[in-house]
Amino acid sequence: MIQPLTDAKPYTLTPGSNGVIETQTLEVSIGPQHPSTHGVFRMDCVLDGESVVALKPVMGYLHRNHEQLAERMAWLGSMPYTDRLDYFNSMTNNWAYALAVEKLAGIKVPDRAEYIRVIMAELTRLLNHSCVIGFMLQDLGAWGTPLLYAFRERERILDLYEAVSGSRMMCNYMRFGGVRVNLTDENLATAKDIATRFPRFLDEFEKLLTNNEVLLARTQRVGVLPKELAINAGISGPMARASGVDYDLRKVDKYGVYGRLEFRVPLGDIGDVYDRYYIRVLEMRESIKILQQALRDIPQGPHIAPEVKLRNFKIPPGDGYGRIEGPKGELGFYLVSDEGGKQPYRYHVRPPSFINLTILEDMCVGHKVADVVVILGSVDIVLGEVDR
Amino acid sequence: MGFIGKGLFEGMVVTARNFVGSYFDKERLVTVQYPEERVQVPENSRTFPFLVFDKDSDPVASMRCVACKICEVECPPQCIYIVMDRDEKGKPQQRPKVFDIDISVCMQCQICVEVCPFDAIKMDNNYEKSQYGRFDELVEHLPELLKSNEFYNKIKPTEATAVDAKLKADAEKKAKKAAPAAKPAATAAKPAAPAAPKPAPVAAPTAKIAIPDDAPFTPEQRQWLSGYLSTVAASGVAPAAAAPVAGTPAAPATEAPAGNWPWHDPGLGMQRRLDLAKETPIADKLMAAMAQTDCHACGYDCRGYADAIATGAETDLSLCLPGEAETANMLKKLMQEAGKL
Amino acid sequence: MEAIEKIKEIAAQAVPAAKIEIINSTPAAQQPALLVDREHIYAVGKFFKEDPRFQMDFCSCVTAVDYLPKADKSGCIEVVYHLYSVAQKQGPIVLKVRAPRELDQCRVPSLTPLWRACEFQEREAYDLYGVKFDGHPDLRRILMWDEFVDHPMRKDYVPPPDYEWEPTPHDDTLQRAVEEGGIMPPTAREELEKAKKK
Repeated sequence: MIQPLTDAKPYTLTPGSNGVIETQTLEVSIGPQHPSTHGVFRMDCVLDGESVVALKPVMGYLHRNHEQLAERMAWLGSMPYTDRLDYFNSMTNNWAYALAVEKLAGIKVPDRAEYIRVIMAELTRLLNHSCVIGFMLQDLGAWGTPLLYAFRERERILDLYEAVSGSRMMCNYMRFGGVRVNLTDENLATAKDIATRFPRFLDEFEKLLTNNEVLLARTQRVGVLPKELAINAGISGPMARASGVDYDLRKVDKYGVYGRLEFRVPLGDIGDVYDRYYIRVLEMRESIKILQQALRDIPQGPHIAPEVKLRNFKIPPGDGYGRIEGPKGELGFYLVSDEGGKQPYRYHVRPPSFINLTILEDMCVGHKVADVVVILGSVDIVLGEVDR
Repeated sequence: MGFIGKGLFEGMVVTARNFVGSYFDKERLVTVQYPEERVQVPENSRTFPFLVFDKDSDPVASMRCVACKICEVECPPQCIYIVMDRDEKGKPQQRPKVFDIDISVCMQCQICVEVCPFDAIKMDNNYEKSQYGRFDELVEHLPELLKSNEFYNKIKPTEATAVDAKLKADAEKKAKKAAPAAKPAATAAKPAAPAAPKPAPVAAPTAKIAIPDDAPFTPEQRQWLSGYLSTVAASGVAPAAAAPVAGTPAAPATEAPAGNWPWHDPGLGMQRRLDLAKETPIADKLMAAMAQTDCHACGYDCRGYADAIATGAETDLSLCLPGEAETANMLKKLMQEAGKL
Repeated sequence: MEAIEKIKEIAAQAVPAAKIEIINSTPAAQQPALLVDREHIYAVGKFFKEDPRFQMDFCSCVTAVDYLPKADKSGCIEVVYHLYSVAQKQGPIVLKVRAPRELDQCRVPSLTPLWRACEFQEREAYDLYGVKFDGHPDLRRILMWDEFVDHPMRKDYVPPPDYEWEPTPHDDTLQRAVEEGGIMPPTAREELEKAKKK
């Protein structure tokens, strides 16, 4: 007869349970070192069997107090640090910060610079959305196939970034009152080439994914976010628009030269993961339209406002909030300047992916634990921005 | 029309096309076999900064950097450390004795390059910087940082050509301005370095210092060392040679082109400059207290900053970075003497 | 959107007990704010959210600012809410509320019951500035770890000198810079000197 190990009791059913095995909820910590959390992010899930009963996001593993760093250096000094917030989209981060400072200081940006910014921002949207879809599919178990197709296209855009700004990802390209380097005709030709080729890639991408039965089964009616909750919880960007919230800052604020460009804002219906996937595809198609218009209309002229000093740049006392429609949502900078005005007195980032995590629990409860990963993938977070 | 699995089937067709296509189509085959093959980096590409010098024979003396410390102050992660070179009398030599960049801290943001008024610091595009240690190995000192203008022209032709043209124009403008004031000064400055933006470096007698043949140096190190040693030796000689000159402002081996301000010469000591500006209005005295590098670290040139202080437009007296505490204290003293503080 | 004076008037009519003040931003930014007292910030926020003229249903940005005491005025922690309207595509209305800097008195009512968007942002303000939001459903630290005691974004926060210390070549450089009178930002210099004393 086999002896049970010391302390281990042989298994018996609880008395009075009538032969039914008693179960209990289980607390599972997903992350922080987990490939599908897109970085160092943790979700404390309470599971009943495989279903999620409660979920608390835990962040801060990448917290480096970006805001305090910025309060210790000159206005320009934070510009390269904004690249490192959402390291996928350094161009739009630069723009958001430059826009906020220009708002505070009342700087007028030359037309050519505005067009260059639009071109760069829309290229960023293309690369972000295509890669996010790739990452989400990776979480679904599609392994690297869609992701690598997206990366192949992203590479062309990054090559353009490197040729223009000198760096592939940490561009540090925008300056207060314009951009650092003017675009050459060669760069513009490359951008045009990207804009003409990208639709072909998108068609291929869609053929691979949009009607794929596995994708449909895994994403439709999963992680539904109702419209009212999306507005109330401050959700922005493609996530809000997938739930049918008609709010695109490019249309609402008309910052830059978006007022002169023609494009539509695609809106979702249900607000499930599939809508969030498809909204991004549609947004990319609109981005290409914007790109083509901007590349057609871009005027000659200076690329930076000449009156802006690089050093000893000062802002009169006061505060202000500037925001743009980043690829992940509303990216805002709240800045306070005090006497002297050489440094920000307060520098606050309103990171879209941080606030978009607010409703993660609401979307996940009731679904299986395998769906949690997909839902998180569809939120589109970058931990550099969540934790700052 | 549709059948179950149609979407899946179409997806398979796409992957199959990519798989087969990668054997024939260059577009679909994007992998490069690094390090056997390398992608050529674009001209604008940047990694870590280096310092530009003009003449191969004497890298240290022909270095464009004047140790004004603007980059040290503006560097967002504070990875630059500069000490100005001084002779044994404490007179500033307008070049760094120590210039360290901690490349483990540097974030390649290029802000040092943008703020440099002398085009002295530029971005390299060498991305292979791995080292065997993570402490001293990752700090670059002057010998590693100094690279020739030819090298700069090689890696970034467009940018370097523009910089060279600008520097040449500046030098010509300066020479033209100086010509009526002090003719011999201009001729003396000419052979030194036409492209150098800073006033002609202390004319160093090129004392050739022999490095023993069996000394364990690579040719590059040897070249650098001989240049370095000769300047060290020269600076040892210089004070003796310069002493009589200082007394007679008309004899101008070290006198830089100076407009109508005889004290506008970074080679002179603080006391000497103030003596020259003794009988002048307060703005000139203030100007004489500056470091005379026209580095724009304060946001003006030396003349402009002095005028701004004198008129009260600028109240901050600590903006002169190359002058360090000496200038700041002197400015305060002068303003107090003038009863303006 | 009406002028800020008009908005203030309407809000004052709706919540008669509230003390509302206008605070100007920089001349260029043109984003004047309404400073509301602590007791009535919730009522004023609720009014702006529900009133059909404003419908501020989108609370975009919540943050805190630490003002140190100065010679002529006492310090405070200011919590700033940026409200926009998705329904009417207008905004912003900026609401500010002030609390004393002392940790035990630094409390303001939470607006999370009105806007879920405040949930994480108020937690962040609590974590980094020590503002306690009364009525917040889940007020815990969010970016710093739970055992952390201080509030690091306060202007008078001093990081411990040995904080996550490990030797780097940079330490040496900073040390030398101080010893040889090099130039570095005043904050870094203070920190080093403090570290040296200890």
